[in-house]
Amino acid sequence: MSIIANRPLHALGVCDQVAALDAGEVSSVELTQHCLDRIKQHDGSLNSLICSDASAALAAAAAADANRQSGDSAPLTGVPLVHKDIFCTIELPTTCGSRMLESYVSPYEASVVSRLASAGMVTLGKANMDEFAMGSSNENSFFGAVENPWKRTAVPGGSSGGSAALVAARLAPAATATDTGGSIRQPAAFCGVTGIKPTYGRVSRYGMIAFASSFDQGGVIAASADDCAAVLHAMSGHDPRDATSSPEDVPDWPGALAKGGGLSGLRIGVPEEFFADGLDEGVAVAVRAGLAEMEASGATLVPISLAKQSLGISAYYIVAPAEASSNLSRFDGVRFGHRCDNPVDLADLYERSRAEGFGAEVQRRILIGAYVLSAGFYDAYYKKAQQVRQLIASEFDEAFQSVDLIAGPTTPTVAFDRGAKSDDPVSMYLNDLYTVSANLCGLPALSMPCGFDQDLPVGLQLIGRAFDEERLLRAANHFQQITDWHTRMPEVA
Amino acid sequence: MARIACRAHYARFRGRLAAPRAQVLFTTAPEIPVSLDKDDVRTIAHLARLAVDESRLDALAAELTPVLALVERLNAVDTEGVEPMAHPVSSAMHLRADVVSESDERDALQKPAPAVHEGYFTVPRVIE
Amino acid sequence: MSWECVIGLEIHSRLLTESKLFSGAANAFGAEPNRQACAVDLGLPGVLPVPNREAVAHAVRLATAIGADFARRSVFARKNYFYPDLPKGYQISQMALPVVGPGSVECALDDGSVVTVGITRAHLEEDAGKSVHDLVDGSTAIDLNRAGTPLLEIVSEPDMRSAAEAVAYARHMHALVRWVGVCDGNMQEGSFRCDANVSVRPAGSTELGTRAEIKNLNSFRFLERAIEHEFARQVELIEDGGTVVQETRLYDPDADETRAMRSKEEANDYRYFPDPDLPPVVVDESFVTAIVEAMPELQHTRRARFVDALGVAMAEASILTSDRATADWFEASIAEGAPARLASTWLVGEVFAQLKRDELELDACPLTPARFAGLLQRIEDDTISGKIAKRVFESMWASSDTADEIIEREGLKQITDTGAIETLVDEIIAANPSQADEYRGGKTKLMGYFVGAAMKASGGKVNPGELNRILKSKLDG
Repeated sequence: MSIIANRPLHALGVCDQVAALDAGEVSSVELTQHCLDRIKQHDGSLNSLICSDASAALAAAAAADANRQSGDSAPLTGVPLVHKDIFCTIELPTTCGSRMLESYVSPYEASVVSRLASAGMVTLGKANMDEFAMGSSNENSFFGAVENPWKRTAVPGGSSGGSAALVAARLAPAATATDTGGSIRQPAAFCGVTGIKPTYGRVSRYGMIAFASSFDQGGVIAASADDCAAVLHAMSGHDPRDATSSPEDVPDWPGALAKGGGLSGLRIGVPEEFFADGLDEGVAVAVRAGLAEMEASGATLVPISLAKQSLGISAYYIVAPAEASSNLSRFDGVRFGHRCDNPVDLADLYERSRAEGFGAEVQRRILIGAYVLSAGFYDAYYKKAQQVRQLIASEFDEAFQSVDLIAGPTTPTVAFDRGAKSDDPVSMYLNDLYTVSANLCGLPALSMPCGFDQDLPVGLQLIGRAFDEERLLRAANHFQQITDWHTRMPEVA
Repeated sequence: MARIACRAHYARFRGRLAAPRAQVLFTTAPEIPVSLDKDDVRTIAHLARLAVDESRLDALAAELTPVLALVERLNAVDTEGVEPMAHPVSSAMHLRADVVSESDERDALQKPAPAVHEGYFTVPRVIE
Repeated sequence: MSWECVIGLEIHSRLLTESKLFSGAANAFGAEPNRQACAVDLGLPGVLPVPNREAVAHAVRLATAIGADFARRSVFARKNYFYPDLPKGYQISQMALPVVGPGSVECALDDGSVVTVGITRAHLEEDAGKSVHDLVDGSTAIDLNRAGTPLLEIVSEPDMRSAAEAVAYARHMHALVRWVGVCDGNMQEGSFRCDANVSVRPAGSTELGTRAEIKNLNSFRFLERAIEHEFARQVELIEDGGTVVQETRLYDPDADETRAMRSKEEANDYRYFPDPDLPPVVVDESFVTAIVEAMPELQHTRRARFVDALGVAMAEASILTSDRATADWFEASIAEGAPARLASTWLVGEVFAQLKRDELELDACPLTPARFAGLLQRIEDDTISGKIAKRVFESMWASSDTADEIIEREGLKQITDTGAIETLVDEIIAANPSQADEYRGGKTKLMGYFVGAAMKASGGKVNPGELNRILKSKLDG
């Protein structure tokens, strides 16, 4: 039986592509060429990629085909993907969406990039993103805003807006992404695709340009949970170059999904706070319908309360800028990156290079971060926020005594229009209302499509115990076997 | 830098948060909201080495104040005796064996540098 | 009014490791600019620090040596400030939870008095790079080879009251860090540098005055001069009606004065916070125990043992324990059979003098502890006299022969045979009849004359004790 049957190649997800390659129905060069053609055709206005290198991609694809021929293939050999432009690559530039790194080529490669290359994946290019991963709309990129493939005037979410948009438009079957306060899940929700942020420490941060180090976690966006599982499995594992990388063994998630199984016995906590005022009605309806499907498959829905959850956004917007202000000090115009013309002295070099190199939102967060750490304010802001973070973590610990997963909406609304919030930072930050807590506590979380509101996709979020990605992936995979939201594709071009 | 009770800022802040989807967050009024003034912004901009035009200081102060005001929600929480959580995972840190693993890659590492001279990075002359 | 000087020191000792504190680049001195600076040291986008286990082990060693607590859990923090030789815009250091807690050391001054100096804490931190200001016209050149090298910053209490006490403490710590093997102590290369916090107050006052911090003193002499000058400057300033401002100053050895550093004029707000890239350093008991058990006997206990158990004079014991290599050499000679007190006297006297003359360190000494012991054994068993021993020692220094080989070849063996000595004495008395008469007439001082004559006649080989006894009995008889 044919894997591809009468589907177009871009309708094949990661796992389908592996199967088709294994069956000899298609070559990596054909798959890669198909992606490159679609990028050429559709990305002009979508703007989901900052750069791509067709000849390098085709060369890698040809090498992958040769490896398959000679029986020297890894699990994902020949499957194309795009890297978020926050991961350092030695052949393609790494801009982090910033003028600061407009023409920067990293002299070394991120661990994630090396791992996925070892797993056989073919890099097509680099995905657009909010500058330094700061943003929820992808309007903060020096390389221009990204369109939402479902509605061209709407934002794709952020900061991994390019990754989500290009997967939604099926320009590639998967893209790497990063999540500091919701930057994988929120754009995945806005674009109707599946995205997973694993447990903090699961994926190496080496070579992933830091925004807020104790929150940042790499992950993947793809069309479905089983595609996410395949790529995430190849990305994960201990890295001696990252002191926060976990030594925990990486379970065989693709194998676990292949075994199938329903949801019976699964206890899903539904926090009342996730459905309080502030959540759009249409989103609530779609999420509740999704939860009902899971209940019908044997899961038990357990009403719970996470009273401190709403404090997450306050704690996050103190601690994340604090870490960011320090992380971004290295962009000083001395050893790499933008340097202003004709600096009169060192102070001028620093201040103008940074003011010219960083965009408005990045500068805002650097200023906030410097302020909350400054003498006399540390206890009132930073320390207080870290204490609240501890309380939020305790509340999750307690909840996970009685439930296996926590579920709710990923975002309070569906994708909003470009410009709607760009001059109001706080209302923009509220997009992260349901997502930041998982980052504060390092928990794995996933967003998957569960319906539509105003013709735009709605995301359902699952949060799991630390290092229990397997339950998230299995639940999402089962949901996607009984629903078809994840197979819906926008009409691009 | 001073923390100033500023009703005007607070009123503006409340006004923004009156949007329906924000209600869930800010149902109780903070007692003493924090505000930044232009001197504060000038000071932190210097700390962060960001050139800010004098004419932009007031506008920036107005943009940043509502963000800082988010912290007022936290003041209502009793955190007496709570250990601050700086890291999301509690496992002990991996320490590295004392081995030289890196060799000289100066040429490659200096390729992105804006200015080098005979192997040195250079900046405008600093007087100590 | 009389003024008291109050001094606290911050000592930065570069740790003896192969690689840097947070990267795998070499921790060595003297490479071409930026050839020992890897991506992590340069703070390139995306790089991360991973701490060096040996640096933590060194902190355990120092803690043990100063009787301080070693923190089972310590935290790295970021100290944020901009400077071109600080690549990340922050220095990774320790603030709230340092790796070494309070301890104290007793330091001897030249006049024999002792000052007890409290150590507040010691913490691990990475060094910055180097700025070179006079190399490129109009520019400052940055070399990051030193960036990321591991330092242990040892912070003292303000317990010193004079430049002499500060120098005594600095010397003590210099010896101590070398003794326990955490630092090579090379001050020219900047492996051991001091910052001195100096303030003055009216004698008898218990409040601390405003302090000035004098940075980067890399010799004991500069430390002494800088403190003396800063003390005089502050006293003069106050007596002229001025006030001391808290500031960072540099000591200029050429002008022999301290001056304020322009680049550090503005008050710094370092915005310390726990480094989110580095979870707490947590070490288990077995790690600490293994290090403590492998530690050398400490300097002061070894010195006391040399005095109490081996009978070595205190002054010599202090010299023998000035560094571990000397003490080891000394004990190696004892293990080879050298009598302890002789070995101590000879090592501190003859061997050191000879080394100094030849400009050699002990590790390049032509004498091995075994050959040294062989010489001393021949003194101890009266085979040769001390005077002859010095001749043998000279020969040994210039060759690889043993003492026995030289004594045998050159016929230096002492004459101890009573009959032979009696014959010699008889000949001497017979040859000097008038002196013999004078002696017997009461001029007993002439004994020395007879001893000298006998020694001369025998080439110095007669056993002096036996010679005296026989001479006395023959002349008196």
